[in-house]
Amino acid sequence: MAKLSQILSPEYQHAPLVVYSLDGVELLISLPQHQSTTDSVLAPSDIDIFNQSVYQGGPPPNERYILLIKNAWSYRFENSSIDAGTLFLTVAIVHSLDEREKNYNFLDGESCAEWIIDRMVKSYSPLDAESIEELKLNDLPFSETHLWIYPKKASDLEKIMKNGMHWYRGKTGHPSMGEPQPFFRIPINSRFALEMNIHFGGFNPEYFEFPETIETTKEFLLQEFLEHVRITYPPEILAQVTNTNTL
Amino acid sequence: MSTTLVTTKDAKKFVFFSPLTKGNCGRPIKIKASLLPQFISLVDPKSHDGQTIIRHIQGLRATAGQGGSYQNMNNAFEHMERVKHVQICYKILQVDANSPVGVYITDLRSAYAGDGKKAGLYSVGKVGSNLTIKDTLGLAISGANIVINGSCSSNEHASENALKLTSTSSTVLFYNPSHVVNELGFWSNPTKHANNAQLAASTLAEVLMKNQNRTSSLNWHIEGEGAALLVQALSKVTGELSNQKFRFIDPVGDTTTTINLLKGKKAQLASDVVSYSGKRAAAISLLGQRNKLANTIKSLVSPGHPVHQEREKNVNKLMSDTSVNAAKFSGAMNMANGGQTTFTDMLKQLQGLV
Repeated sequence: MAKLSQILSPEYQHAPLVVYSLDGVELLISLPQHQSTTDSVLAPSDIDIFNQSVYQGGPPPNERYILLIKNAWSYRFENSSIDAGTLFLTVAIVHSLDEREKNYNFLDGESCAEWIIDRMVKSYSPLDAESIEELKLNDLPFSETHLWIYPKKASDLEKIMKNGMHWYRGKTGHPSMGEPQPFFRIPINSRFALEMNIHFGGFNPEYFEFPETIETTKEFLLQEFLEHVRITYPPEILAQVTNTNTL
Repeated sequence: MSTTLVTTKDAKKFVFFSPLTKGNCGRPIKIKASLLPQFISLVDPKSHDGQTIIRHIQGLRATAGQGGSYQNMNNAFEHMERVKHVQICYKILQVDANSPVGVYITDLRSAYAGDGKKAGLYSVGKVGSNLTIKDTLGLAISGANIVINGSCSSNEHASENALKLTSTSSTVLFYNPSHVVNELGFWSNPTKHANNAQLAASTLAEVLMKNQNRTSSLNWHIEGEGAALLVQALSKVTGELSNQKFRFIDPVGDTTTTINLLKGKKAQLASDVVSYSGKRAAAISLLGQRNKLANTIKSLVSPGHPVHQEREKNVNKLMSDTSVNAAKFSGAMNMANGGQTTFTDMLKQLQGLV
């Protein structure tokens, strides 16, 4: 029924421009209209990332973060009343307080990658207490398939260039849920980073003439969205990012 | 071409869909007046999708039975078309020798598109701002909460809602996918061949029975169309559910019967056993059983019970909040007896209802 070209994308040129000034770094996103009964969030443009009271999230290993954007929009098949699927997006500022002893400098490529991996290991590595309890309750032995999929070393992270900026890209997920979902990180300054998490929902193989193209389709839609995300650094930060984040 | 598919007596239960479909231009289109609750639950006439569906129905004057429709292999008069998230079932026939060949809409069903993922248990949580979802490791649940979702387009959608509903950073979701919601339907009997729904109900019944032996009680949050799946599962449960507590949020379907079934299984019911937030299908579903539901909730515990006063207060508020809408709803349903009313006139009567 549907090929890549037959999926209708949002009209980005008519989408509202969302702007944030984050310690002098400007984030600009063409954000399609929220189309879901899930909650949407749009934090104020002038949010103060140094104000600890606006952060949420639990104690370690959970990250503390400011949720800037939570949004979801649908993709339709051309000439069909059926939605192909939905992209769920969260954009957040991350500032981990519990790793200061490591003196990460997010403007340094290696240090930033190390921080991303350290966070992943802390968040996804062990079986949490609830999972251990579940294994006991269900009389099940531990298996590697119970563990999350996440980047375990810096080389598992991809560095991509989009609109002149270097992003770190990786995937997290659980083997029981099929393909892991993409995430993106980019430094704001030496201590703060911007994270984008993407989840694709829907994309039912039943509605695709060529189900094997679904992952390619998602990647195309993802790249299309990323084209509409722009980061502008102040010159002094840009110089450091450019010096240390060479691809 | 007289036929007994719609008898002359049955034909009186149909009204013209709109002034445009009275047969002055193209085939007349009639719809069973009793489909009003289904229609208003599924179609928001103010929305773009709702207008598309209404225009499509009016267009059946010229297009009924053509390219976009499916024909019943066993009955050449019966057709089905899917528009947006609604399946329209109709017959093209002549009721008597004096009538023109017309289109008779006999049923409306939900046809939500979903992700095709299997019904069952999923662990839902957050790592920072990132949503995490995985299969649970078995049917025994270690956490305190479990959600059965209503109509949702994907597991991700249902998971986000489950976290919101339980106000927690992690919960268990019994995923009720669209293909199960569509099969169960909430206005008519489930189809005999609803294999997906039967499988989902069997799995849910196993979860209910497996978690009866917990040391602490399990809190079930049943949302929207999830109530229909619970009813199916309850018919497969053997034994009591005394260690499990149920709460319904915007339930769709026969909530009164569901509560009575739970009572029969000695299940616990939350103090706010039923709550409504104004969602269209739930609001319409409530109007059809308002008095019966209120009496059932009031009778659950005797005066003096710790939750009696709170429930009494909630039910009284629900009755007072919905009294105007109940009168509107009843007025709209009675309009069909007037003879000249069209379905869109009945819809107008319900304006502002949800």
